[in-house]
Amino acid sequence: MTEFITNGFQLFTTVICTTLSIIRGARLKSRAYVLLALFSGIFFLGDTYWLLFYLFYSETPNPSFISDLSWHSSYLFLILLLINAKGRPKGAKHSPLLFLAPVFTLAMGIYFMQYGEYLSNLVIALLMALLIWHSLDGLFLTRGEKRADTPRPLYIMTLVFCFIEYTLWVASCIWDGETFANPYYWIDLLLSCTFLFFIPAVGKVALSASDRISEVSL
Amino acid sequence: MTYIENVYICLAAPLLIALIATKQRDRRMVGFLLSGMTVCLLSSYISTFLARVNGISMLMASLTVSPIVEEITKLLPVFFYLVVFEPDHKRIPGSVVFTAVGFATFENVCFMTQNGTEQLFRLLIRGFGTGAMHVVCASLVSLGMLHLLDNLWLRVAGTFGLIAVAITYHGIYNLLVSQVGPAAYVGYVIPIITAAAYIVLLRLVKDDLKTA
Repeated sequence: MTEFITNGFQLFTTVICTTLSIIRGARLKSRAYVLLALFSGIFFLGDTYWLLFYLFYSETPNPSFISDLSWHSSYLFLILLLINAKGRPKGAKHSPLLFLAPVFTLAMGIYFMQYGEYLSNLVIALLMALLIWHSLDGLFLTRGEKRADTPRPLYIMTLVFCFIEYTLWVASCIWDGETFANPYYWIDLLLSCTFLFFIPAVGKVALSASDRISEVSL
Repeated sequence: MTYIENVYICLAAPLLIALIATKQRDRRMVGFLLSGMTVCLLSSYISTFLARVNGISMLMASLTVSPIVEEITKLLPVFFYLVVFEPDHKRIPGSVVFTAVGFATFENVCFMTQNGTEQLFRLLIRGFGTGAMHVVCASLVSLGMLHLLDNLWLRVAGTFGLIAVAITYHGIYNLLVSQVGPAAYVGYVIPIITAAAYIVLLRLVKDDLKTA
């Protein structure tokens, strides 16, 4: 029951984020909102598939290629959103601190491999490393920036999202139980809430002229 | 036992003749229709093989493996066309749609040979549902491939992501239509609604561009 409540809430927040992003993306012709819609939309689809399978067959899908693929792809779209927002100036150097991102995600990946599949954890470590790398890089590049269309809120939100994801995964390894006494479910609810905060964060990026989709010819 | 290869040959023969008899645009469309049917047959072989390898039933394979196999094989003719012929961008959506329609047609034939043709209403809704689902999934990938991102490697990453969207959407559809009763009908209706929403959204964007 707890699983259904938390998953249901996640479906609700992701569908809100997707719908608002589609509407704003179409109205502003904003590539950033389209990418946000894809990020939250595929997360929503992955959750729906997982939940429906559980509902119909009272077990989780095995092999779970489809739901894994959808969640991994949602991270991919978030990475694309960060790259799209960044616009790195020529000659700008990477801070050495950025190399801590792959070291951290790899270490966490090795820890999670005790509980899950090798390949899946390796892919997650790679995607998370890219997410943290691009967020931190963006934050360093825009340090002290006061522009109205600054993408800083997006970088901060992405780092918050990654932090909560890792807390959630660690919680799933430590605590057991299917009631709200298990902190895992509270962290899952917190993760669901982050989708709502991505909408205003992307709003800043959408103000930029370079974000416009220039041609739609179908 | 149904020999689906024989059904395929019977359906493909007139299309092969049409391929010889037509020219340019018509030939291209017939070619994509035929290739859609061919990759449908191919994907059923691959799905059966993977089901055996993973030790799962055909029902479980249709829910967990087939969507991945079908969405990837469905794009193979289009990728081949893109890489070998380097066509104008305007030709790509048509080729994607005809491949998807060929795929859906042959899948419906397979369904009818296995489940019979007595229930007209179910076949009607399934015909539209499956057709819309395959067209929506294929169009989604081609739309992103052509318009979403400018940079080549970002486009490759975006295309991979959109294939994943199509796979999950297909997986949900298969999950719902594998049930009996209202869940199956919800499954059949979802792609029809998606296709309608997609057309409305496109018209809105186009009108907006004209007035801008």
